[in-house]
Amino acid sequence: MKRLLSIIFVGFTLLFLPHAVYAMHITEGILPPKWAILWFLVAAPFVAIGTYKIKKRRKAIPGYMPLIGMIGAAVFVFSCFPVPVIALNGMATAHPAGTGMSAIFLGPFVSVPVAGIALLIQALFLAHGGLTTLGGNIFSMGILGSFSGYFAFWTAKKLRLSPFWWGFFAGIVADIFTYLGTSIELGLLVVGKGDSFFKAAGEIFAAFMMTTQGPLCILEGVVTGFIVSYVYNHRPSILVELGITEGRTIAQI
Amino acid sequence: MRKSKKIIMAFLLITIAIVGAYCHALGRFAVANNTPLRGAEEQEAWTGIDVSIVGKYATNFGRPPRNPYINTDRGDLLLCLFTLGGSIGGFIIGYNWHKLMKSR
Repeated sequence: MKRLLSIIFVGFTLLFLPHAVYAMHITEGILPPKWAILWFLVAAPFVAIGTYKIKKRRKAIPGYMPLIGMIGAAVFVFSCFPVPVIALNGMATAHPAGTGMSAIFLGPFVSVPVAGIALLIQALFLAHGGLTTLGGNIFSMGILGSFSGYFAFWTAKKLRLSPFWWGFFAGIVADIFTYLGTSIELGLLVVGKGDSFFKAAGEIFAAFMMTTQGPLCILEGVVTGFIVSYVYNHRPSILVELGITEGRTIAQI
Repeated sequence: MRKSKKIIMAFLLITIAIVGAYCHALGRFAVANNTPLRGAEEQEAWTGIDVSIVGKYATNFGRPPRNPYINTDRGDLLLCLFTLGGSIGGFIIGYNWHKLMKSR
């Protein structure tokens, strides 16, 4: 019964929680068919590998599915509420991504389908993102966000920084790369029209960073850092089971 | 903090500062040249960057956004869905948090 309830919860989570991911939403109609198809093709193998890893890990790691549910929900909530930021263009809002956090706890591959489901439900129910642009959005937030965030976490860990800094750098880097991905996808729209891709993508990225995302990525880093630090201090067994830390030997950090 | 850590932290902070300054300069350049960033300035207050940046640039590049296939942005329907999603999300976080952090 407990198991059944748990499965229903996880299913519910995967279906409804991950709405939360429209930090960098490219809306319906923006990507021409050739680019839309390309981004779907790029995203597909990552989603497939991530799904396979979920299947494999849920048997090996106790509490893995509730963890996916919780992280998926957190990603949803992170990106569901627009955060007001005052920057170069005055008052604006933007969404954090949350994939840095999910990449740390779930791994970068598993983080991709979690982000993908979130983006899909947003496109279906919340009028954010789009069905034709889903592949592009998965690429920027799911793939680039997760892998860059995980790399930042891994680097911080190798440098023997404290768990707060693991999360801090993962949050910042994932956020920046998510928007870099969106900038690249938008910049590619000028290819073949006589404009420079690098100029276009660079300008869009600068606009993102200068408006809201610059301050917001630091905020996301701080929040992610506190979450990782909290789990490390209060339930280190979770990190050990996930292979993130090796027992309490890391306490010397 | 060990010396190597200090060096790494200093390096990271300097990198962030340089990238920030670069972006700032590019942003100023964009404003000065009447690029879509200026359009973003003219947006209504608290407009999301999905609209003020992504939509603006896409329109300039000849690919304006259009309504989603399932358009829930009608009246308070979207607000209802957001509230519902947020509530369910919060409940699931709380439930699983308790399960993982308290009950093990």
